[in-house]
Amino acid sequence: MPTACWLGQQASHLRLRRWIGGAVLGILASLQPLLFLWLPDVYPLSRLFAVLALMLLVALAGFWYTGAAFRRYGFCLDDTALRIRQGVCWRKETAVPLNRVQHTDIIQGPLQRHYGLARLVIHTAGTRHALVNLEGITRQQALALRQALAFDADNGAV
Amino acid sequence: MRRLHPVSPAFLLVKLAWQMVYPLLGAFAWSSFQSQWLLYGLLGLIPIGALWQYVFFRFALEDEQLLIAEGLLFRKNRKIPYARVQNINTIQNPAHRLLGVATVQLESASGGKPEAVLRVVDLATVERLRQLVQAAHGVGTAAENGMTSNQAAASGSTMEDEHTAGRTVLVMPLIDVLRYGLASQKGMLVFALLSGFFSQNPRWYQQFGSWLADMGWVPHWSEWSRAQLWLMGVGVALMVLVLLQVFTMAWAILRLYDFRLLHKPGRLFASMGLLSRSTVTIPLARVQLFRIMENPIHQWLGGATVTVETAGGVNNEQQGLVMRWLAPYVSRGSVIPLLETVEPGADWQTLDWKPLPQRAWLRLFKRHLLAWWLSAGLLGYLLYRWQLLGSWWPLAILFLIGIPVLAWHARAWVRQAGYAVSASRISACSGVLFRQQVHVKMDKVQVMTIHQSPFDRRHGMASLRIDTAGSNPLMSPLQVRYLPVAEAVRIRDFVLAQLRRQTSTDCKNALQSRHD
Repeated sequence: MPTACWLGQQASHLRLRRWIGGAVLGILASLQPLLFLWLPDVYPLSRLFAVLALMLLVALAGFWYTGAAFRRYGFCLDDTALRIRQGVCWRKETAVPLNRVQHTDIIQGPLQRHYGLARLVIHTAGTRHALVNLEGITRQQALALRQALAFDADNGAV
Repeated sequence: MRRLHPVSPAFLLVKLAWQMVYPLLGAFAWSSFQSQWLLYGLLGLIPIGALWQYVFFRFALEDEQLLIAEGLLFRKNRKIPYARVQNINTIQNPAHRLLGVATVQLESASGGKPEAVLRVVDLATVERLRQLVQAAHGVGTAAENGMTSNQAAASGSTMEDEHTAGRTVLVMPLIDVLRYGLASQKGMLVFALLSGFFSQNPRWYQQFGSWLADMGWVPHWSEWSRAQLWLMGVGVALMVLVLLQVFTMAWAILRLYDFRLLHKPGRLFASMGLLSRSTVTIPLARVQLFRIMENPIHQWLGGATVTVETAGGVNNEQQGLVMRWLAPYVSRGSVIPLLETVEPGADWQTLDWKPLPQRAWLRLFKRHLLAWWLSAGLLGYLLYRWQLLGSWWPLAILFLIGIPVLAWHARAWVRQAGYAVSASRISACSGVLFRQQVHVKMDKVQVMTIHQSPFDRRHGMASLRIDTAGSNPLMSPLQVRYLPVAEAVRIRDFVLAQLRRQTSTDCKNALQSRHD
């Protein structure tokens, strides 16, 4: 399966991440007024405002960061290797040589299934990179990649 | 199916006691506070455990496989086909030799724990096992059958005897064994353990101090002046250091006496030990990485330690007999000839080290200086709290002295670091005080990553990391830092191209061997 290089993740993946992050923060934020009401001596009004302001900052930072990470993420399959590029501040480009792939897994959580997303896990014989993850791609893409990697991985040499 | 040799419970007892040494020490330290029952309970458990293991372990040497049935509550039945056994390693200490037995450890191609450990069996069984494994891997030596060395390694004839045909690659004289002891400082580990152990019970420190005071040698420790405390501390440290050297040398002699490395078809065979003779095999096809280490003591002595990482085989001492040395200590000039003997196809003579950009020294210097100031600050604060430090000027000196020392170190580091890439091998060297060279054959390269921290990006640099199989996560991988980005990408693409080219040759070889 030849691909034009540097494909990105699906937009639904970004949306899903933001929603999950937002939900977690939302739950935590809704607990704060309750704490204020139940423990007024430990939790004065000033603290409530400080915590809510902090949470707002975290939400904004998270929103920006997930967007930046989404834009930076890319993968590319050519005839020598599968390359994955990721990271906003600390950037990393992983190259998995095609003949070093042991086997692959396709993992889908319930939310991912709903959006048609999947994660491709590539197993290699390495130590620190025994597992290489490719997140936020469609299930069709994952299946096609698995096919392409299996075709070339007749050695998986160690 | 039969049981192990009747004297096995004794050896199993020793092994179990060794495995329980940390819980036992813990119980011993605590037993001063709590009752003694915990300690006695643990001690009593050991012989019962040994007997249990002996009674519920059965094995059988069948024609095609080794059968093992262990345990009563948690039964484990294993069938190990002889063809899957890569190595047979044996240990014989004086007790083994006296009783005519040996501990056998079978290693398979997958890593981690050994496939099976027979503790202990008589020598006739060991020999029979060797014959069966050899028969399963094909009759005769590789040379007689005209197989290539790769195929011989895969078949792995395991006639592992010191005296069987093999080219001697390395014999360590006693002086080198002692040098290894000096360079490795294994005593430090024991010292750390003992300190940890004694620190569990601070009463012992006080008792020691009171005992000294009662002797009348020194006034009671609360009356000491600061200078006396420092002097006492230094004196004790020196004494401990001398003791450690003696202990380390003794350990080195016991472990490595008459270390011999033999090159047999497709594998390396090593034997070592004074009282306890161990034999270990390293299949050459499974060697992933060569590492040459020189700490400051090595550099002073003019030698190095050469180790290998292999895929498969046991990973640490807890799991079984481990040998990762190609040469525990060898003179620096002999390193390349040794590597050439062991791995001829890897262009050792054309190691043209390329340097890193010199401007990297400033980055390294700034990082180290920050770490130095933070540690010195912390140390100064603690010493001040413990009232061992009167004024601020020693701390100021510590802060200032870091600047020229670390600057020199950073410049030397960048000057001496380098990388070398050829069609068959990729190498990296780094370090000033703790020098290290890592060599990886091209066909052992797994995943490659290029990392860029924000600081890297500002300077247009990146670091390249190469992952290999079976490596020790605690030791550094093959890594080249502070490379110009274009160069990192160029090296990576070059290696990928080499790997691509290898696929076609590997395919042809694989097809040919299937027809044999």
